[in-house]
Amino acid sequence: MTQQDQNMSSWSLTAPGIHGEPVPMRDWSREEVDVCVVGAGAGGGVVGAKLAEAGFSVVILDAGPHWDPMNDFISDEHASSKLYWTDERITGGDNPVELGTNNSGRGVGGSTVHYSMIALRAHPDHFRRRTIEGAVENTDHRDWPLAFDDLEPYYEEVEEALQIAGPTFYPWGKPRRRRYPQREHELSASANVLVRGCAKLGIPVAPSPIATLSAPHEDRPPCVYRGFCNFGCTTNAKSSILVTYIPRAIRAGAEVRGNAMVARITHDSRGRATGVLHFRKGSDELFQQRAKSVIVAGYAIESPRLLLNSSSSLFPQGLANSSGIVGKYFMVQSSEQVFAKFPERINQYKAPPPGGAITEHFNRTMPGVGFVGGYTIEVIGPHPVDFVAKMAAGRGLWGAELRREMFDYNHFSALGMVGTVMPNRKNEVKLHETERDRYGLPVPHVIFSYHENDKRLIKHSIAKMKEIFEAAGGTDVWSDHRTSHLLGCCRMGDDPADSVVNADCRAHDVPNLFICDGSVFPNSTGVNPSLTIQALAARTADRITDMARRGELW
Amino acid sequence: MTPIEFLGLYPFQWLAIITAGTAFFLMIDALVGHYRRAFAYRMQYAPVVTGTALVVAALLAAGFPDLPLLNQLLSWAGWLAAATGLVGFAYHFYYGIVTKPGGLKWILHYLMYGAPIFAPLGLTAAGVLGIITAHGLAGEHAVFGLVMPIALFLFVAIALAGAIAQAGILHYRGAFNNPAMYAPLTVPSLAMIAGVWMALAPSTVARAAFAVLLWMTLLVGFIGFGMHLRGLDREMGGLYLWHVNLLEGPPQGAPGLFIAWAAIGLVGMYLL
Repeated sequence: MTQQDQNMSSWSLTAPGIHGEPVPMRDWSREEVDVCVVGAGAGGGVVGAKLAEAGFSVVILDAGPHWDPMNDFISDEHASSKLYWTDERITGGDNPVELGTNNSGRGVGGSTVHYSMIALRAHPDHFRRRTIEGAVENTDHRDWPLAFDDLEPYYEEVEEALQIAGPTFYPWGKPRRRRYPQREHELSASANVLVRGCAKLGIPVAPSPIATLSAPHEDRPPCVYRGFCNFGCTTNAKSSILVTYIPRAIRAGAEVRGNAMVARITHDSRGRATGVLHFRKGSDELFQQRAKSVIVAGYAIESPRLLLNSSSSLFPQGLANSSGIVGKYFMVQSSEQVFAKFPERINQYKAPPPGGAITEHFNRTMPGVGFVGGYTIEVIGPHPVDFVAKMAAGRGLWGAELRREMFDYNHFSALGMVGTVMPNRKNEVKLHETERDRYGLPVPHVIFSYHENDKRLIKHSIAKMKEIFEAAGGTDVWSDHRTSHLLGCCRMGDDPADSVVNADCRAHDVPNLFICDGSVFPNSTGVNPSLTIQALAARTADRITDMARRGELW
Repeated sequence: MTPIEFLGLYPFQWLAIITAGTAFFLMIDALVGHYRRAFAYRMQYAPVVTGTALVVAALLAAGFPDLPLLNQLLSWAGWLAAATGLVGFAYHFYYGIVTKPGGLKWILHYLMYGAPIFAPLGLTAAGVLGIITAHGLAGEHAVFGLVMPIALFLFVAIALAGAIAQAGILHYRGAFNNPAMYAPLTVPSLAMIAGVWMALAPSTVARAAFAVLLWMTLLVGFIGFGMHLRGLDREMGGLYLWHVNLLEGPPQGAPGLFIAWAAIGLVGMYLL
């Protein structure tokens, strides 16, 4: 950033602070900034904040509002729907993905505002799945262009920034070089059930590392175990991007602009990105934000959609899509859930949903099971409205019977899994031919079908979760289908012909365009992806800083 | 060995007062902690009852040091409190760790979140202090086969070990979020070593080191009170929700133990 830029922008804006008071923010709307980040979630928040701190002029745009945690979040299950991306989307395939709830976020902080905070590192093997597992028919899973060791320092960096509370010894993955910044949380009653069941079956189980404070940190208090984490944390104990990286970005001079829906990325005649065009709330006018480079961090549906919507005579297939891979290899993570009733009171909604215990025992390629990949078993804590829907769908209860069963809500415990899903070219995000959203932009058409391997993994996981519940003394054991975590569509790779970005998340076709979110995953890991997305974003920020200093960027 | 009067009271009167104060803080801690678990077991009332008995007996003995009956009463109350502490330790170990899901394999978790394992031994220590004090008030120069100052120095070293261990566990749980949280681990540890040194091989150097470290431990205790209050304020709702955070935040009485144990060492050093 030049001295001239410094002088031109002013601290004339305000943004909601995390304690309910507005904080001063810079206005970059009329300038050409060094970096424009589209999306203020796990990827965009981290990369934007780090670049701002490195001295670049940064604007971070998000389609949703800039939340004020003290005033906008309400401890109410229904009020949380505003945190989800509920714009129109068309789904298809054999297993159409339910969208607009747990797997999407809208607003500054993205889905980290409502996620379950489970902060797991991927295993070194997850980055070399093709080498280890070999080819699987009808899929194209492949190794990552980077290794675990490339990400390890960045895992440590984001764990420190988010003050992850985790166990002293975590038995899975590569042994840690440094202890978790904070200690694990106390087990909830649901987690007790998991520990009890696993202990009986001899399955290793450990405290779960989560992005929630277990001790005070700076101006944020430790968790008080209310259990409303998925509806926006009102105490700031939850280390969402909104209360961690976003305040850092603003302090470092970035502008974080909420209610700014980016319609397309503009480029010059040489094919270099020159900024973005976006709609602001309450206006049909397209605003331009000029930028020397653009980072797309809209997650696995909106990122490819934006690239496809940015097609031009120079890029007829969509921006950065000479390979034709943009939108292809869309993945979810299977998240089957199993429920059981217990004689003692569980109060499953209490405490953070991960409850404090986890087992990654099945998160590895297991011999003789008939599938590759693995899954993690976690505690979940659905609130009543969510739970009653699962009860109706999973057990087919209705009317008086359903009502009677709901009286025992406090006696139910729930387990969920996060499983790998094979990347399949037929699973894709494309632009719908006819449907248009309120801005007149083509809506995304999301097509998804499980692979045979995924189905076998799901079956295995449900059987295991039921076994654990039965060993723990549960009755009325039943299961329900669910998916979570959207991945793929802009996969990273070394070969420009069959990947969209390289290991630095830099687009092969457009040298000043980066993609920095879950969409760059070439395959899925058996753990929740947020920490890996954040580590990737932290690494990308360092790479961009290096490249800019060497003059390779602009 | 001539006992030295300090502020009008003889050393063993001071020790009786310290016994009462320690027992009071430990009793309050037990009350708050057991109230937090809603007195799920009837035994959870035991430290409240025996702790109160020790407070009363120690205060009476301090007030009327010449009445042998009250000395005897303090001795009995001491034995009772000491026994309660040992039983409590067994209870905390068994119900707080062994019978929990995962059991001993999860000992690290339950040391942090189960019943505070070393807390009952604090009551045992207070009880033992009561017994020593009763012997001293009766004019005896030795207890448990040790001359008084040596007995007190060893007592201080052992009692400090327990307090350091419990503070270590709970400050580890708090991830040492403030560097000051290392203070009750470092300074009293050195004081403990100096205490043993002083008891086994007394010398001017050992005496000087022990004295300095005891005064520093005393200071750590007083600063600890302030820091624990600040810790309470850093919980959600802070001091405004003091009645809630009293149960969730740092134990407000705990730093007092360092004051008590250091004070005993100082009494043994300057007044006996």
